[in-house]
Amino acid sequence: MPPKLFILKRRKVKGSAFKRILSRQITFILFVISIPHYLYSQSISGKIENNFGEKIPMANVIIKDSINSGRIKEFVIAKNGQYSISLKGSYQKIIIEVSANKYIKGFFEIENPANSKSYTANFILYKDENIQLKEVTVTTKAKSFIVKDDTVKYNVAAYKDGSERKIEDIIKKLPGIEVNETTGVISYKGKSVETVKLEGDDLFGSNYTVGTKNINVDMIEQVQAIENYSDNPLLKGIESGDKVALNLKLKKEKLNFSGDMDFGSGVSDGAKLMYNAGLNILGISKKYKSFGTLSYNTIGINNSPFDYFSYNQGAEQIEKVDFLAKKIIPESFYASSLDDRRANLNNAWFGNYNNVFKIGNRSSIKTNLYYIHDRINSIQQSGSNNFINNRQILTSDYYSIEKSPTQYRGDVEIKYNSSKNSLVEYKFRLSGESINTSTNVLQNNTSNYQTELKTKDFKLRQSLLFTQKITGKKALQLFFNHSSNDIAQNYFLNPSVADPLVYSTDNQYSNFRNAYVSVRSVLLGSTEKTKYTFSIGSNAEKNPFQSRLTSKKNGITHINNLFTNDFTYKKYTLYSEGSFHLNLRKWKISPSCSLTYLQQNLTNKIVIQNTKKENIIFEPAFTLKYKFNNVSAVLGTISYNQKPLSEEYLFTKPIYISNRTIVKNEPGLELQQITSFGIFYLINNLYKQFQFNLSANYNRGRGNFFPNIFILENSTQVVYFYLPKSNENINFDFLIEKYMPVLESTIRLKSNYSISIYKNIVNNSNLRNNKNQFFSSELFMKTAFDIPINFENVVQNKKVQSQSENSKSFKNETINNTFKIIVKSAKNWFILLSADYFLPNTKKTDEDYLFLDAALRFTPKRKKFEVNFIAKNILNNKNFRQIETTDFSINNFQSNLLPGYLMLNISYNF
Amino acid sequence: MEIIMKIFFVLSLLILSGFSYGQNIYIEFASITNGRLSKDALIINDSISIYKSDSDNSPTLQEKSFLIKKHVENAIYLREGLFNQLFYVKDSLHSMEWKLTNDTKLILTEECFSAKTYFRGRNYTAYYTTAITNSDGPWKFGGLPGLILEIKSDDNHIQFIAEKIKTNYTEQFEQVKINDHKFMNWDEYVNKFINTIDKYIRLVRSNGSIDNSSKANIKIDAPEIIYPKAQEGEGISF
Repeated sequence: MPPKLFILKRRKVKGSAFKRILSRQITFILFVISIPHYLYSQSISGKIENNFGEKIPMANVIIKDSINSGRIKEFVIAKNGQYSISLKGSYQKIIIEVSANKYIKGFFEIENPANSKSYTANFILYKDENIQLKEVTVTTKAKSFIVKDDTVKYNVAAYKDGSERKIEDIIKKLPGIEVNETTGVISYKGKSVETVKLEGDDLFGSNYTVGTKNINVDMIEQVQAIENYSDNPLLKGIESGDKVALNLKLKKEKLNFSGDMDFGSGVSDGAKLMYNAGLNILGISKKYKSFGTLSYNTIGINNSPFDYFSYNQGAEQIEKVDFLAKKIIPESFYASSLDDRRANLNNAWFGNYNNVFKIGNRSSIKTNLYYIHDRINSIQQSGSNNFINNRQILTSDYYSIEKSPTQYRGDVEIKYNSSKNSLVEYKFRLSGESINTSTNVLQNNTSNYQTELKTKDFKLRQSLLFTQKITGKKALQLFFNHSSNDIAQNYFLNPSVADPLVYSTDNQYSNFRNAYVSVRSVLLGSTEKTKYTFSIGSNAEKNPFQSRLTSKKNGITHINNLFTNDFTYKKYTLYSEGSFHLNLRKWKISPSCSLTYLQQNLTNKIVIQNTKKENIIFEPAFTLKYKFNNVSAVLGTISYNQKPLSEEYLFTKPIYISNRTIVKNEPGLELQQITSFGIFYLINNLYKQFQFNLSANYNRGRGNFFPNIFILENSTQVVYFYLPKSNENINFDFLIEKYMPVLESTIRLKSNYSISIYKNIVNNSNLRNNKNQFFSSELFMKTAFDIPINFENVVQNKKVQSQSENSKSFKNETINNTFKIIVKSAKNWFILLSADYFLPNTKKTDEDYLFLDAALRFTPKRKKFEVNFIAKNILNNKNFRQIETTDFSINNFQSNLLPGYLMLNISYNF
Repeated sequence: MEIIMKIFFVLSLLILSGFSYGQNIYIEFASITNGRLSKDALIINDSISIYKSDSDNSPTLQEKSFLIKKHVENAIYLREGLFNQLFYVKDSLHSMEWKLTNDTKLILTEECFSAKTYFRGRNYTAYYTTAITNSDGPWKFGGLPGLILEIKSDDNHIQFIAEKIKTNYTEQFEQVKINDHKFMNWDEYVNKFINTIDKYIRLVRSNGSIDNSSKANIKIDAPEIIYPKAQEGEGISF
């Protein structure tokens, strides 16, 4: 290439003149360069045959510059005995080398090739007789690249745009992941997530909602969904691959210190100030990771993993029911069918601090601290229309409630890798909770009561776990657990209900304690197609319970012996259990069973009586899954269990659980036998955008404590007694979902039908057989237009029918429709308008409710700030009524709501 | 009796598959495709090559992925998957254009030369050996004057590295019967791909799985960039 052409034309000229000259210059150069190519290139073609005249089907034709140079200049692949190549370069000497499998190479030289000439070079190749007949293997010792299997990575930037605020909002959207709106419990591919890790460290444990509800979405780079998750890295690949978890990876620039704060304030009808403020701080380094959050709100939001309003169980509560003492007097209100954000009049402080230290390479310490303080106000009306023995008993109570829960809790977890194949973990938890509930009751519009319930709940738990990996596929674990739970409830009533003629106030004290110790050893293993576990262990539990009622008047205190309980319930088990999973082509087979020796002991200190019962229990279970093809599968499960009935049915002397209701039991140590089976069929065809689920479940519990209820206008008495009779439950679920291209919308129909069969005695009747039927269906439709506006509509219909055989049936039907208009503009604006319509009783169309809400969000480009404007309950609905039925009554509940309010909220991200 | 059955079976396979007995080359590749690791095998005969991947857990042979190159027809017969739906596609053989470059590398005791190409959205660098003259390579790659033993995309999303070569490979194996399936051409498959992704995105936008106040992006991971809007950058946002 002649370089001087470039230098010749170089001149400094500004502006467009320069550009014109340049373009001329370029054309000139191109023209010049292209000439040699045109001048010198040759084309070569020819045939390639073997010495029998047969065309050789595939051969490589290589152009080289000299025989000794290994470098290939150009090439062409010859097919069907023919080749043709136009050379791109110019060469002093052209060497054509033809090679074909099992033939000796052929060569042809062209010296001083003439310009633009076409050459023909035909080749005749001879078979290579020196072909080896033996198989020869050459292997490399190089390691393949490391890739993490079982992990699906979602880049957060690819799923969001900054209009979601908390990482929970992103997690909801990831395919296969569902988040329970109320509790924040996350499931991935249908299984509950074990934890949400932060940079590979388990900072939150099962209380991961602390992280997902608070960590600002801007801090997170990637969400990893991990299947076959093992909390214990030594067990990966060995443990049954059913666990899933999420891992959050942070943005590179966010490593160190970051966080966000937001502050919102508004006014409600009645000029009351409403607040919603929060602060999150994240501090991360290689050895130390911490996360802290502090929040305060009065608009019904629950930022903590505990639910004091509706008593929904978070992930942690679902997992640890066995080690808890029982609360005899329930704290819960009835469950409102409205969202917490409409009905929870709270005043909630929540603080949480978590950190993980790494000490050396082998150990780490994690601590979590929680503080919750709330004050929930509620005004409720509860009216009952009881139809008993052809008589109607009407009750109507009016409650004004203030509930103040406070909780302090600290967790410590220490992990130590004692060797490459073993791990020691120690966990410790201490918590103290107190809930004070003051209630003012107007009973039947006549009597007035003031009640105070003070519950103190103290928990201590510790556990030691040792894991030893025996081989790549086998591990042994040893567990030691100890826990202690003490619940004391003081229930103050004014005036006295136990003896109102003589005394003025009552104070009922009840205290349930649980001391629990367990030991367990587990062997886990897996092979290519199977996974198995085998364990043996023992538990010992001691539950002392005391209650007494003291009535007072004018300084005189009287302990009413009719209300004194003092007993201890002890339980001891020795068990062995095994489970096995087999993957066989399209089948997945999982049998399991356990064999237990159970001893129960009930010592009544008042009557000096000791009852003992021993049982040997065998509990098998079996699950079968069959995959028809890539999009559909069927699952069937069957199981049989025997369990001792709850210790809350053991107190013999009565206890007041409200100003109206008193409970006692006729205890027994019998076991309940539970048989259940279910079948589940699903189609999930993402290619056709179609989903279909159908499932049926049946449960039968034989041996129950049934209630003997006696209802009067002013009081209700319940006595629980044991009968070896069954309660049953059948459940059907149906779902069908399809994206309709013609409507550019998805339509989904969900339906559930369930029947419960149970027994009771009401006002000295015989044993009644009751049936409760529940049917609900939901039709969902949402558009996906290309314009900024889209619509969503959900209509739900619920029908309930409760009936005792040969008796009147009680029915109720409700309708609820929610309509939303969603506007997402490209310019960082977001608007959401929603209209929520409720008809709690289709027979009373004048008693309906319409809630209107609006939300406006503006996120400027740099996303450091965000402004939210919210208008909630614009029509200012003050109360909400809902109706429930039982086999002998129709009840309506009314509670007050958060007033309509306007709020402005500003967030800042640092 | 068993031996006779075996011979009959092998013979019938030969007739059906047109495989010449013996003298095949077997190469094992370790591969990464968009984060999934697998062990693959390329088996070369004079006129047919078969590429098998063990990254899926299909229980039956008919369901296993296959990629068959018929050199005489200049065609690749393969099975593509999209959202668990299988498509049988006839693609053109070794359609990528190569530029020879000057690097060399020793792979599995063979000296290999380098070449670069741009294939369906990505730039690749390959190393091939002329000691094995078959113009072939892992997956859809080939067309160089020798066997490609290593090929990597510049963004490292797609990598194939040969780990084992067996020449004069004589083991027999079952072959997928091509005539059992109906094949569409590559352009048809591209259309289906784009239409399906579009409909899937609308499904995600409209089935309530995304909170209304959120914006989201979807990005599809696949070896070939067929639908750049959904596969590059941040993907499709909504």
